[in-house]
Amino acid sequence: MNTRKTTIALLASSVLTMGVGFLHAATPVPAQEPIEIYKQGDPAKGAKLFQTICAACHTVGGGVRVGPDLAGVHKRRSSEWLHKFIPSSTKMIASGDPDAVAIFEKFNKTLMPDQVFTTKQVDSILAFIESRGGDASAPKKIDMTKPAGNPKIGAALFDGRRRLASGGPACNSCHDLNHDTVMGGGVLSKDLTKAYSRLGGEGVAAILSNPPFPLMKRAFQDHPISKAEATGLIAFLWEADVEAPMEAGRDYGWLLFIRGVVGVGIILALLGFLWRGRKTSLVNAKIFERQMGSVGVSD
Amino acid sequence: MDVRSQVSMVFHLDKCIGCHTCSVACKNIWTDRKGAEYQWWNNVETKPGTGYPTKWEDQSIYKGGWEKVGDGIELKGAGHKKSLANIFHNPHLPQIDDYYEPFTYKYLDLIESGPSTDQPTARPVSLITGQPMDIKSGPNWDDDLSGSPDYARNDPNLEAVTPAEKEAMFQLERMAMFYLPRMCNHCLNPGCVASCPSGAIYKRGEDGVVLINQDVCRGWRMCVTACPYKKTYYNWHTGKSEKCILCFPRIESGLAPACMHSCVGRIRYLGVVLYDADKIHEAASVSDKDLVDAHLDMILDPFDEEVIAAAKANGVADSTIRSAQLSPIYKFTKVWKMALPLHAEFRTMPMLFYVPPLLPVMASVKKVDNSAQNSALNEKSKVWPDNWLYDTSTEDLFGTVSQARFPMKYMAAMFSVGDEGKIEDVMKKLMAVRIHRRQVTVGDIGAEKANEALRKAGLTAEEAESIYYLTSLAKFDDRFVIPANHREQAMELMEFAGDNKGSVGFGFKNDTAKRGL
Repeated sequence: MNTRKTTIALLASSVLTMGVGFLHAATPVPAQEPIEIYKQGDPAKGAKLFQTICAACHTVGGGVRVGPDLAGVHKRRSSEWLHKFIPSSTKMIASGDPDAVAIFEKFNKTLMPDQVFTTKQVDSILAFIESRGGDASAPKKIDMTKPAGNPKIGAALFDGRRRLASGGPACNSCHDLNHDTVMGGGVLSKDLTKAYSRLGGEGVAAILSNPPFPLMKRAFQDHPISKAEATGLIAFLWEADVEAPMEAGRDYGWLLFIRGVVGVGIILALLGFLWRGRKTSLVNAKIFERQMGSVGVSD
Repeated sequence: MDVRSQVSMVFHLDKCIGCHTCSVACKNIWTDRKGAEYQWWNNVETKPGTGYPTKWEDQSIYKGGWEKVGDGIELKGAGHKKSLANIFHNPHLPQIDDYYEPFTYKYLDLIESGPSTDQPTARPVSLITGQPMDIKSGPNWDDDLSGSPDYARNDPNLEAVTPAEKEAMFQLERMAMFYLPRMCNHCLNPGCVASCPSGAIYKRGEDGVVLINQDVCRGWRMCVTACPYKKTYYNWHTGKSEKCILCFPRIESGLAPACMHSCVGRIRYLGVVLYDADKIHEAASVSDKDLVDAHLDMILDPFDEEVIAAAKANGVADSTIRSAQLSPIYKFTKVWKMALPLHAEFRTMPMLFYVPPLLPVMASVKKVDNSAQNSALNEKSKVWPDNWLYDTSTEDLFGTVSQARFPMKYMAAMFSVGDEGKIEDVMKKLMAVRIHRRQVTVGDIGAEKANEALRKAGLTAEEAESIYYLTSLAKFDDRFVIPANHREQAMELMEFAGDNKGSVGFGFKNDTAKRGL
């Protein structure tokens, strides 16, 4: 029941998002005054916004996570561009802005979800980034030491053998992962086998605590993942990541197909043998054949 | 001794004219419904012929009935293990075309067609698909087709005769046929009851009628395989199986079943017999040659004090015992020993018995001098100037029996598990009664010869008269001796009849069957 409600809500929200996007496209954006807008922002408020919304994918000086390191972004891009891009990057990519498209291409074609920010909020975020200073650092090496937490609990939570306390959907509803402790999962979203080495413990934690992706965000909005659960999941994702080379690869190649065909053949042959005495033809067949054939009638 | 009563039947094949009135009466009452169109609970077959469904007697195809395994018997195509292994795909079922695809004609086209250069026609349409079809077969497609290569020569009973005898049967001069009306035999050892995985089929305690409970039936169709006579049918519309109910609503009201009531040739007899249920297993397990005797031995003498006492102790009503004493079935099967079960080798102990037919007598063409006869005719009369006689008389008393058109083996394959002697005995009795009656009415045979015929057939003149009476003169109440139903007692097994006292009617009414479980 719960899952069903969530699904309906998810569908509704996606439709709504699309609708909003369409409205945006229809109404021309009023030209912005070229001023040092971020100066008007409040770095404290910006820090809070950044932590809750942006930190899942971005760092300031911490290196690339899902999206680019934002340290010094106020110097790299114009204020006007940032004010357009931050609330609605998808629209800019769709409109073919060369810089926006370049970023999109560079970061694995992962869209940054649109956010409902007021101009003032964007100012605050930029003010916060400015206050941190510095420049984008080289991608940091992900720390692959074993995180705290019990991977077994994480595995159980991942494939739903154990429910999330808040009633949220299990990870394998949308995500696949290759590990022998769990069965596979959905293909709606990214395969998480190498998620840990991609995002690191902090990145995973940030996504779990505040999912930036619209569907995931909606799914867990009313069913947040608890700290303890997140620890378990992080430990499990780490385990799956480091053990990935030991896992048997999933081979969906020709061999599987051939084995299937041979298997079906064997089963059919067995059935044919077991039921060899069955009545296979019409008792009347010969009579029909002769009678119908003799007058040249065919059906 | 476990004495029970059983409604039993005798069909006198010598009297059947193959008019199918029985089948039509049954169809109109019971199987004129969607899904039941192809079912003929009663049908009439021409013998030699393949029957309905085609070659139903060939159990190497349909695996019906019981087979002797060691000292006991097992179902050939069903039973615990076989049914379980085949429960989702019963491999020996007849297909619809083994029966026939039911059809009707678009009669309305004859009236409603617009003007055209051609006559309007009523096209045949399938009663299953509703689409126009080419009619390939019907329930009596082999009707009257003795000698035909497709039907008569494929009769499974012909395996009992040699190829030379088979050819002789189909020589134009010898060609003959007879009719075999068939319906549910309401067997004492029914394969359908034994095979039902749902336990939906039961043999009614009070009169032995075998019924399928439509509320319990799950349509596994094991009964269709298990019945060697192919007299349970699957209704594709309701998803359940159906069979002859021996018109139990009519029997309960003292009426003869519709097929019997409507029988033009009055070939059908119905009455109760008392039998010993303790002997069923033993009798069904004897060797092939003893089957018919063991079967008939189960039918008890309703005049025997011991039998009457045992019957009463078992709850058989006095009226039923009285009815058993008057039963025409008891007379035909036990007193005169003229009626035999059809295919007793299927070991279901069928309780429908047949008096095998005396076929039309063989004749020879003799050279005689007809000139005296011809000269006596007046001028206008048509005269055949030939001197031949189609002569049916024989010197030998039972010459027509020993020179029957069909080899005894053929009849024996159907009615006495291959024992030609039994068939011959019945034929002699039939013949002796004819000779006796000819002597009584025409008087050209001579009392001495007529009595010799009776003696050789093992009959007395009185017996011959009673056989003649029951065969030719019997009134409705002689042919159908139906005991009071005692429904009130049967009902009390299921519910307290006092609850209904003072209210309207007994019993319960169900809606017609719908598909589903």
